[in-house]
This record gives sequence, C-alpha cells and structure tokens, in this order.
Amino acid sequence: MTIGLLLYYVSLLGITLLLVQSLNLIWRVRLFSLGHHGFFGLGAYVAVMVTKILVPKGAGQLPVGLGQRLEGLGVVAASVLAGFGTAFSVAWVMGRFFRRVRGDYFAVATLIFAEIIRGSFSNISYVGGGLGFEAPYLVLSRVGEERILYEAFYSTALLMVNILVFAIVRRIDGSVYGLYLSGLKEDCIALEHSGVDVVSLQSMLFSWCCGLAGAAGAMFLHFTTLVVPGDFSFVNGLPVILAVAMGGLHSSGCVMAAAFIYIVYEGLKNGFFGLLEWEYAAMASDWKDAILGLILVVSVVSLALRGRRRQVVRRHEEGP
Amino acid sequence: MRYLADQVLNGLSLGCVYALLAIGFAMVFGVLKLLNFAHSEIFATGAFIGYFALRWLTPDFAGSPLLLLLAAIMIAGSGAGVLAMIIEKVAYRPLRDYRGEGVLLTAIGVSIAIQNIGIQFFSAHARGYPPLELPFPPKAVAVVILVLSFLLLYGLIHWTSLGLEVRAIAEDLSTSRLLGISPPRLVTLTFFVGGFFAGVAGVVWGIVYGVIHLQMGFYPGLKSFIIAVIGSIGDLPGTFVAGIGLGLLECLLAAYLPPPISAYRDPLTLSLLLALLVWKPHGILGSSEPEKV
Amino acid sequence: MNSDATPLLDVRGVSYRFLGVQALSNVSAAIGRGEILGLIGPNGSGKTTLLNVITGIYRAMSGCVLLEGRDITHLEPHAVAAGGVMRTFQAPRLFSRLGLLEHAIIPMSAVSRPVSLSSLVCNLGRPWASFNRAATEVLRRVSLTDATGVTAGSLSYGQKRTLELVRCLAGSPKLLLLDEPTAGLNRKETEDFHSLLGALASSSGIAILVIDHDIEFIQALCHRLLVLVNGKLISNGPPERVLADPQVIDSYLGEGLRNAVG
Repeated sequence: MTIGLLLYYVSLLGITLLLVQSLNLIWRVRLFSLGHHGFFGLGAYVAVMVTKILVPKGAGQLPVGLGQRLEGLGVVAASVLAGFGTAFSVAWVMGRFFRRVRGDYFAVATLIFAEIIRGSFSNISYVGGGLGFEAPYLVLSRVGEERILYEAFYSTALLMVNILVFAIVRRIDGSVYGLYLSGLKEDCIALEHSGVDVVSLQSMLFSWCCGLAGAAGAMFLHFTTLVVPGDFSFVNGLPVILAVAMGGLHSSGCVMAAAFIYIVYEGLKNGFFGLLEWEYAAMASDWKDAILGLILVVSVVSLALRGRRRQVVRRHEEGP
Repeated sequence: MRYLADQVLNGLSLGCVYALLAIGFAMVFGVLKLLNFAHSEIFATGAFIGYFALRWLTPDFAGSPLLLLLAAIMIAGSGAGVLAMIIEKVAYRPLRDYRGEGVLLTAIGVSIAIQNIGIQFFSAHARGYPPLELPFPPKAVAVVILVLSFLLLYGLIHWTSLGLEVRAIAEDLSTSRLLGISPPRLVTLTFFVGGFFAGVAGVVWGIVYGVIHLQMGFYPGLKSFIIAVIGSIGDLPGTFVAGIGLGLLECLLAAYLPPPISAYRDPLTLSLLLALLVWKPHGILGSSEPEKV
Repeated sequence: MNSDATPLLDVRGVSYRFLGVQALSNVSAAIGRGEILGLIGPNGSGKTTLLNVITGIYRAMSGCVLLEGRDITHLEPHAVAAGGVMRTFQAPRLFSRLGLLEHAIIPMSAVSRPVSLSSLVCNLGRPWASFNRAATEVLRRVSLTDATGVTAGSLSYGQKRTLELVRCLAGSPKLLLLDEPTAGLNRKETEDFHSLLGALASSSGIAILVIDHDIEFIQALCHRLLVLVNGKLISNGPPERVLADPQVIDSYLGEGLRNAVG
C-alpha cells in the first residue's frame, strides 16, 4: 500500500464522514431522512453542470502552470458552492412541503426523492446519462509526480472541512441548541410548549445539512473525476445510514462508527487493501452488501435487546 | 383504439400486482404501524418460489395448466408468508414497540441482506417464467386472481372473528390485550397473510411479464408503500383502486409519452406519487385527526 | 382587579369537534391580569381540550382566542408559549434525561431568543451553563435545588410536578394553565403545592387557570370558577355562587357537596 493509495482512501473516508456528520445532525432533529444520498448526487450533478459550463474542453488536458491551476481551483470552488446552494434550496423547499408528513412516511418520502434524483439525472445526457461523467483534472492531476500532491491536497482539504464541521457541531451541542436537541429526543411536545419553534429548527438544520451533502457531492466529483449514477444509489448510501444508526445520536459516536464501517466496507470491496488472497477478495466483495445488511439487523436488534434489559433493571431500581 | 385497449389491459394487470403488493404492505402497517421494508424482498421471493414450483411441478400437473398455476400460487404464497413470519420473529419482535427508527433500520437491513444473499446463491441474472398454456390470456388471469384475492381478504377481515380480532388490535393494542386477544399470535398471522399476498403478486408478475430477477422488488415496493398510504392504509377498497390507478397511469404514460420524455417515466411516476403523499398524508379518505395530548 | 381593562386572555365562542364528538361548544370566558380561575367539571367535559385550543395544539373550529387583545387562535404552541402562556399537562411532560437547571434554561432562552439562524450562530459561542445563575433563581422560587447527576427521570412524582412548574415559570409567563397539577400527589404534597401556587400568584401577579377536582382547594384559592359540562360552559362566577348553582350541583357536584357547602 503506497502513501498515495492510503491518502486516496483517507479522502474517500473524508467524504463519507461529511455525509455521516450531516445526516447525524438531521436525525438528531428527529427527521429520519433516508434519502441523504439523493442530495449527495444532486450536488455532484450540479457540479458536473458547472464544470461543463466553465470548462467546455472537458477531460483530457492537464492543468499546467499556476494560472491554470488557480482557475481550476476557482471552478472547484464554484461547483462546491453551487452544489451546496442547490441542495440547500431543494431541502428547504422539501421541508416546507413535508411539514405535515409524519415520521416514517418522511423517511420513505426522502428515499423516493433520492430515487427521483438518480433516475432523472441518469437520463440526462448532458451530464453523461447512464454512462457517467468524467471530469477534467482542474488543480492537480494524478499523473506521475503530481499524484502524491493530488492525494495530499484533497485529503487535507477534506480533513479540514470535517474538523470544521465537527467543531461546529460540538459548539452547537454545548449551547442551548444542544439542550433543544436533547429535549427533542425526550419530548417534542414539552419542547414546543417551552417556546421552541421545533419546525423551524428542523427546517433550518435539514437545509444546512443537506446543503453540506451537496457540497460533499461536488467535492466527490472533483476528487474521483468519474461519477456514474450508480454511485448515488440507495445501496451506496447504506454505509452512511448504518454509521449514523450505529453511532447512536451522538456526534462523536457516529464518526467512529463511520470510520469503522467504512474501513470494513471498503476493505471488503478490495480484499482489505491487498491483504487477502484473490479468491477471498472476490468473495468478500460479492458479500459486502449482504454483510452490511446483516450488520445493520444484528446491531439494531442487539441494541434493542440490551435496552430492554436495561429498562427492566431500571424499573426494578426505581420502584413503582 | 386496439392499442389503447391493449395498454389498458397492461395497466390493469400491472395495477393488480401493485394493488396486491400494497394490500399486503398495508395489512402489516395498518395493524402495527410498521413499515415493512422487507416487503419487496418477500415479493421477489414469492416470484422465485413460483418459478421453481412451476419448473418442478409441470410433469405432475399435466392435467390442467390452471391447476398448475393455482398450485404454484399457493406454494409461492405460503413460502413468502413463512418468510415474512420468520423476518418478524427475528428482526422485528425484539424491538417490541414496533415503532420508530429502529424498526425501519432493521427492515432495511433485512431487505438488503436477503437481496444480496439471494444474489450470491441464485445469481443476479433475470430468469424467464415458463410459459403456461392457459385458456385465457395471462393478463386477464392476473386480474381475476387479484379480484379473488381481494374478496378473500376482505371477507377474512370483515366477516370472520379472526378478522375482528385483527381489526381490534389495529385500533388499540393494549385494550385488545386486556380483552384476551393475543397480539403475538395475531401479529404472526398478519405477517403471514401480508407475505402471502406479496408472494401471489410475485407469481402474477412472473406470468404477466415473463421475466423475474432478484432486484425486481425495489421499485414496486416503493410504489406500493405510497399506494398503501394513499389507499388510507387498511382501507382495502381504497388500496385496490389506488393500485389499479397507478398501474394504468404507468402503462399509459409509457405508451403515450414521446421518446425524449418517456425515459423519465419512473421519476415522473414517483414524483406524482410523492406529491399525492404530501397532499394527502392520511390517504384519500383519511381524516386529519390531531393526536390527543 | 381592574375589570375595566382588556382581559389578559379572552376566549370567545370557541368550538371544537373530534370525530363525532362536540368537545367544546361556544365556550366564552375571560381571565384578567393576576386572576386565579378554577376550571371544574366532570371527566371528559372538555377541560383539557380547552387548554389545548388555547395553547394552539388544536385550532378552534369557530370563535377566537385573544391574548392581550392579540388574536392567537391560529398560532403554533411555541408562539403561544413565547407570548406568555405556559401550561402543564395531566401527566407531567419532562425531559427525563436532562437535569433540573436545563428544564429552566430551555424555556428561558427559547422565549427570549426564538429559534433562528442568527440566534444559533450567536449561541455557538455561549455554553448553556452560562444561564445557570438565572436558572437557579427559578428553581429557588419553587424550593427546588439542582444537584449534579440528578435528572428529571429520577425525581419523585411530586418533584416532577414541581419541575413542570419550573418549566413554565422560566419562560416569564403572564398566564399559567395547569391541568390537574395535584393529581396523584399525597395529602402533604398537595397542600404544599397549593400554598406554592397561592404564593406565586400573590407575589408575581401571574394569572392562573387551574383544572382541579379538589373543591376545597378551588374554593380557597380561586377568585372565580368556570364549570364545563359536555363541552358547554354552564357557570362562571365567584366560588360561593357557582358552587351553590343547582345546575352545577346536578351535573357535577352531587347532593353531598351541596349540604357541605350549605
């Protein structure tokens, strides 16, 4: 495993962590969105469109010289902003319409929405349709000597963004808004009657977090330079959902769970980074989704059983 | 004109599948308020069991293809029902209150697990349903099957004491328990019946479309969820109508939309359904009664 | 009590219907600043429903609710709360895993700075513990003290009821709506609670509407009584008059009490 490859995986983990952190916050305001990958895809496709408009010549040419690289950086920044803005706006509109929709309906509604996004974009030939889109190298390239720089650039950038998001969420937790979130988990009605505008809080956080997912999508495009509609399918969004579910409703818990799941999932996908024999690697890759599903079931069920046992014990301690 | 008639028949038979699927889904949701995500896999499993049943039974049932079909449906339905019961026992029952995010997540996990384990053992390629020499066109048979199933279920729910107990549980779980009704037994039954109809839907899909594959459940499952909600969950006639309506809509859209737009048939249908869900979150005939505080 | 001034809360001709049941029919009542009203009536007569309509959980199907002259009929519960109307529930609604101070801080900050992006950003730099002093003050008014590790879930039932009161008071309310606040409490706890309410009313001028079945307490504490039967308001006036009203006695109090009241 070379440094370059390691940094590559770190970057991918960084993207995943952004999605996990944003979805975690959404779940903490009791919006159990299952369609986060939809906003991820939306951001990526918006980035594709921005890139096509700003860089008409497309993939093939490598950036040379500081001028071109800075221009490329501008394009990247523009597409990230566009991805964020579009996802934010769509989430905001969705929030307005879905106000009256109850909990589990909301979950499936978001799932359907994500499917609509994927289904629509995979038919638009402008963004590559079913075959996907190859983005040009804009700032650095993966060719030859520049490879290490490329991976270092993206992994550092993503790491910093993640740390920033993490810090902001920590600050939120320490403020009264953190109390609101805890209160929301306990009793939404009591919270409402304490003067907290729960719907606005939900709408606000939903928009910002979905926007973040969109930005992550744009970053994903420029990092991997090749996206296909399958990248934004529900199955690919599953590790994120699993991480958030397993991490409980803490910010740090889900980050660790995400890292763990990511390593397991990506590991399964490519024979644990080259450690497994070829046949086992192939088998692991085939079974990775099934294993993911089973992990999900086992972890939720065991958590529930443990919770029930604890409840019984607590009831004995507290008395009638 | 002939073309339109064909499309309408297509739509009706597709609608039958959707309605059957939605009814099975609505049963579980109506009684337990549980979104059985794994319903789509039960549907696919039913289709596959039917496939194998048809292949293995043909020599024995040389008498009447109709009987053969009936046998396949019974076997597929029962198999799917049993699978549903197993899923309930293993993945849902430990999460006793059946509500909330936990159940949704396990359901997703079960769905993904079944789908992918299935792919490992049966491979993802599509299989063709063995053609049956039926006295009537398969699509017409599908409609008949649906109507019969619907009547059967309606009768079960509304005219038997068992159905009464199920309806009682749907109303109020704790009171029913006090009255001596045993929820666990009935829950198992509900899952079986819901799974049974999903299995039947799978076989119907097989004979109407001729092709099945392991991931066939995803889209129909999503749509059936919305249909169940639009049909006001548990209101059988409403679900029936909504399912047929969707089938007709899809086929007519596929037939009459001009080529550039026709590729968007699925996103369009989903968007329409989503809009309906938002507009009428309690179903066509539902009331928006606020929860008591 | 200045009965000429605009009433604090004015309920005018409010009706509400559940599927098949007319829960409230044309109910009208007014509460003035600093008044203490008792709301009595048989179970299921619509008392809690009236509270739910006032606080905005249910939207009145006819009629309106005015707070200091402002129409609050269509406001959401959080807006009604921020407007100065705080309520408790028949079964205490608390945040079981949060501590006592937090129960005071949440309404305190929510009422003074409603949820918005700017308030979120401003609060990023401000840990919630900075509200502790003010929160402790509120706890002191009801004789509760915070201790580390004590969560609402671990409190006794009586303390839980008191904590609900804290949640209300922390929001600087003008009007308290209390739904059977002493149900389930023993004799001593009930008396303590009643004297607490009396003290609060006289010291802070908060108006109180309390639903209760304890006629002795109601008589002693309240300036006026409202009697709700089957969704209709059948009596509204000072306790002596209301409790002697034959209609009230027939539909709610019963003969035994008539002899006791005399």
